[in-house]
Amino acid sequence: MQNKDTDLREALKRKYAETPQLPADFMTKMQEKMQPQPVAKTRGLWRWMTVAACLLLIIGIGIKMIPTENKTEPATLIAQHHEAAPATVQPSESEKPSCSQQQAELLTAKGQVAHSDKPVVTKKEIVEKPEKEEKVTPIPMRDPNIHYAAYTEANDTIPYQAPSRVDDFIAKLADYHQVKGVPLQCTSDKGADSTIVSTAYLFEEKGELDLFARLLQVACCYDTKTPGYLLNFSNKQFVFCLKDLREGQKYLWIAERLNSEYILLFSTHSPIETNVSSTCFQEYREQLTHTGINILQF
Amino acid sequence: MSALTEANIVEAVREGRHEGQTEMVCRYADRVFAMIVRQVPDVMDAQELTQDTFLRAFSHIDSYDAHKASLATWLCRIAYRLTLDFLKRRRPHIVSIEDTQVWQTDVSDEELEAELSTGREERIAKLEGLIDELPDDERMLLTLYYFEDRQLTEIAYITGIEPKVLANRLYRTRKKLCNKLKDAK
Repeated sequence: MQNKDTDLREALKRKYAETPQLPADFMTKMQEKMQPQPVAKTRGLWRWMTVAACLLLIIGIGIKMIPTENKTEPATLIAQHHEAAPATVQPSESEKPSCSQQQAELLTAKGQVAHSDKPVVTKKEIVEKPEKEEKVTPIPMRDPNIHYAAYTEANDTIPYQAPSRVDDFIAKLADYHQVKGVPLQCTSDKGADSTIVSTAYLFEEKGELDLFARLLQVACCYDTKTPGYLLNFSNKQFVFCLKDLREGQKYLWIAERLNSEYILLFSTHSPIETNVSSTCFQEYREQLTHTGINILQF
Repeated sequence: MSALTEANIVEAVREGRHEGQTEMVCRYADRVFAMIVRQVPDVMDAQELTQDTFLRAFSHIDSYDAHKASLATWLCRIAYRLTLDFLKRRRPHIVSIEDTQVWQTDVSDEELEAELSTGREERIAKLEGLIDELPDDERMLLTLYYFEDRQLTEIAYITGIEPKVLANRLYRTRKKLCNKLKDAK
């Protein structure tokens, strides 16, 4: 049963006593608006057609983005590769060319290459690099024992991307900015270990350099499904890990902002099974800043 | 044309037939406009909203379920949403501290009814002003319930709010008005 609340009813009644009537021209205006209204079925058809077009577009973009070796790898490189290592399992097809292109773009983005007396980094240099790397580690295809254990293209779930390219990029960047790489003597759980290659770079924080952004772009070149992929970054610290199952190496890059003036970058690679101690990083950092910090265990 | 039943109109609109749309507008435009213009004082705005209501109805006619509500109530449901959206855009909803505070003393339904049924002229006049101060959704709820004499279940369909929640909200609104009346003394 409804509440009586007569005062309230009366108040509302008075308030809405003089409700305006529907304007006389309402129907005319409504007819004008009704005319362009398409039939519901036609509208539905258009909706489906739009959805279908969007899907086709997305599929098209997806197909376009799938890396295909034939399109991206220069024919000359393939020819050279076969000449140099005819008995190897892996042709250069597993390389992801977009990364090297992007690295080249990164280096040239701010006009640092052009019109400079400093060492020029060209796209050609970077593209040709993997060819040399693959010559170093030929894997004989015909030996069934080796083939079983080898990291072959047939077993790759994602295109192979050499982690060492990040080191190449950093070395070239450091060279360009006249930053000297300092070799560090890192230890493993077995003590001094010469298989660990660690280098520290101290970059000056300059607007044009934007090292964090560049490192992040390089990291983004790698497929997240790359073995050992770990990317962690903030405004102050950048950590990137990769594993190279072909070479049996694991890679770690740590960059850290120091006093808003410098960026300290550690680049380390070692055999996968080696447990590298972070002491060498800490000690080097303390030498620079005279303050102790805890760096992530590698 | 006027012999068309509600089902015929719906069918005609579903098929995109112009006469169905015209009949729907002719039959329900007054009711829809009246509901809107009570909340939106500007006639031109109310007219626009009424047109939008019908255009929305034409394009969403497939979602109409005759088992749940009459066509007129369904149109009111669309009009309610459009009006509320319009009012939100026009004047941002400001919740006063009084609205959110928990009242220390609980008032029974009978007490509230007694407070709001005095028949005293000055209280009725005061209530007219107080209704305008209410948030849009509460004012619309009072209008639907007291002025248009709709059942809570029908209002629940129009507003999309559960009847129990609506009853609670109605009680709160009445209590708020009572307290404001007491404060105004």
